[in-house]
Amino acid sequence: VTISDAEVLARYPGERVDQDNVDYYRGLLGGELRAMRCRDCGRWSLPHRAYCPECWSSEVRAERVSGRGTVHLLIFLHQGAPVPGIDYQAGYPLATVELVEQTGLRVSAGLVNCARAEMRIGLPVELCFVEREGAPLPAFQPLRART
Amino acid sequence: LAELRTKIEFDHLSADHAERHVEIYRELREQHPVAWTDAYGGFWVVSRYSDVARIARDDETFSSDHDRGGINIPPAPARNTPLEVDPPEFLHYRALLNPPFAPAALAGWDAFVSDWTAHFIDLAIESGSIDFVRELGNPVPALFTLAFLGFPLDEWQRYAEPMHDAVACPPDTPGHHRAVEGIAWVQEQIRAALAERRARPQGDLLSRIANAQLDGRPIPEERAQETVFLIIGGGVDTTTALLSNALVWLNDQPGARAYLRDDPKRIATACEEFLRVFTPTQALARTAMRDVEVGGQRIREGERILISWASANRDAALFDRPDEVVLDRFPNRHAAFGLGQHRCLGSNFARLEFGILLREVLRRMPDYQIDLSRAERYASIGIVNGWVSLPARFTPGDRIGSARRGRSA
Repeated sequence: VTISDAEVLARYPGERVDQDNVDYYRGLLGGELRAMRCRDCGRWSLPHRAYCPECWSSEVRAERVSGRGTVHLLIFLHQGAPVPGIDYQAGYPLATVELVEQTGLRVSAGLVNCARAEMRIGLPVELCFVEREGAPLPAFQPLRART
Repeated sequence: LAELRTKIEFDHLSADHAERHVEIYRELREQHPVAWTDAYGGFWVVSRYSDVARIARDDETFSSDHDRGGINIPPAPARNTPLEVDPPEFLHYRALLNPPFAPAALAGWDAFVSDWTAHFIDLAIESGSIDFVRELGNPVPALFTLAFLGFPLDEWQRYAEPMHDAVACPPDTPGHHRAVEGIAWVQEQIRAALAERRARPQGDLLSRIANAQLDGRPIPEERAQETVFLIIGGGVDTTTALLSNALVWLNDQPGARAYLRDDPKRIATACEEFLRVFTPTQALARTAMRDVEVGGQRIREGERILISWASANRDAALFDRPDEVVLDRFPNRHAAFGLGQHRCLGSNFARLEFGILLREVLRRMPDYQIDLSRAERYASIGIVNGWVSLPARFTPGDRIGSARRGRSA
C-alpha cells in the first residue's frame, strides 16, 4: 500500500515535510526507519538531503535501516516545548544512536522501555515506535535477546 | 493545501552566492519561487516580484520587528530603527523623518555634493590613477550623510571607513576587527552629539531626532541612537555600491559611456536601470505573524522569510530582457529601494549623489580603465552588493578647484 504525500502531510502537521524528507515520514507510517543512501558510492547519510555528502551525487534515496545500534550520546531533557507524553520534570531521556549500518550514521530519538539504572552510553538498542499526536515517531529500546 | 515544502540549498552569505546570485535567483523564480532552506535556523526564500511585493506591502502579516528576528538573516545584534519597527509605531518615525528627506529638501545639497566630488577628483586627476571606491565612491556619500545629519566633517574618515569595512571585510579578519572598533567610536560620537543637541538644539537633523516626540512622548534615547546609526549606514555604503557597479559595467561599454557623457540628463533614467540590475541592497527579511499561503507554499507563524529585491528586479513577468542593461528603460518599476511602507528613506539623495558622481567621472576621466585583475568584490553580497576596491587609470587632467574647499592642495 503506497502512502500519499497528502496523507503524510495530514499525519505530521507539525513537521516541516519537504521533498527530501517525505520518504522518511512515509517510512515511519509504514513502520520503517529510513536513512538516505547513495546509489553511486553506497554510503548512508543523515539528515535527509537531496545529495550525498560523501561524493556529491544526487542519486540518493531513502532506504530502510535495521534500527539496531548503540547509544552514542545520552541526555536528559528538563525543558522543551510541551508535548503530550513527555515528562520534563523527570528528565526525558534523549539518545543519539549510532546505527550498525555505518560508523557515524546517527539518529536521535527517545530512549524508552528502559530502567534509568540501565541507561548508559554504549548500550545496544533497537528501534521501536511511540505515538505522538496521533502519528508514529521512532524511539529506541534496549536490545533484547530474541526468542 | 497539501503541498510538500520545497526545500533548497541556499545561503545568501556564501561565496557561491556572491559568484552566482543572478543564476541562482533565476532558477528559483522559474522553478521554486517560494522555497525553504535550512541555513541560519531555516528561512523561506521568495524570489518573484509579485510575491516580494505582496509581502513587503503587508506589514500586519509579515513583521519587520527586531524582537521577532528583524530584517536581517541572521538577525542583527541591535535594532535597525526604524526599519525594524512595525506600524503603527513605525509611522511616527516616518512622520519625523520624511520631511527632511523629501525631494523638496534636496535643493540645497546639489552644490555640496558637486563641490566634494570636484575635490576628490582633483586629488587624483593629475596622477592618472584612482581607487573609485576608497577615493571617491565612499568619501562623497559619507561626507554628505555626515553634513546632512549635522556632524563635523573634519573626522569624516573615522565614520566612513568602518561602515565600509564592516560590510566589505568578512568576520574574523583584521579589517573586520578594525571596523568593530571603529563602529564603537561612531556610536560614541552619536551619543555625544545627541546629548549635546538635547541641551542646545540646532537646526540640523541630529537636533530633530534628539528632541523628537513620537506619539506625544519623547523618543527613547536608544531608538534615537539607532536611528542616527541607520541613517549613516544607509547613506554611506549603498550609494558607493551603486556607483561601483555602474563604473564596472561601463568599463567595457564605450558606446554607453559616450551616450551618457554626451547628454548627462540621460543619467537619471540610467540610474534607475543600474539600481534595477545591480540592486545595492539585495534582500531583506520578514517574519510571518500567522500561517499564510504564498506561491502555493504554506508559511507558518514565526517562520522567517527572505524577500529578494534583486531577484524581483530581474523577473521577466515585469521586465523585458531582464538581464540586459537598457539605459533608457522606461517605465522602470524596480524594487531596489524596497516596496511598501519601509521603502528607502534616502532614495532621492542616492539618486542625486549618483547622478553627480557619474556625470563628473565621465566628464573628467572619460577614458578610465578599471584594472579588473586587481579590483575586489565583496566576499559576501548578502548585505550589500558592492566592491572593496576598484583601482583605475585614466589620462591625467587638470584640477578645477572647488568653491567650498578652495583649490585643493
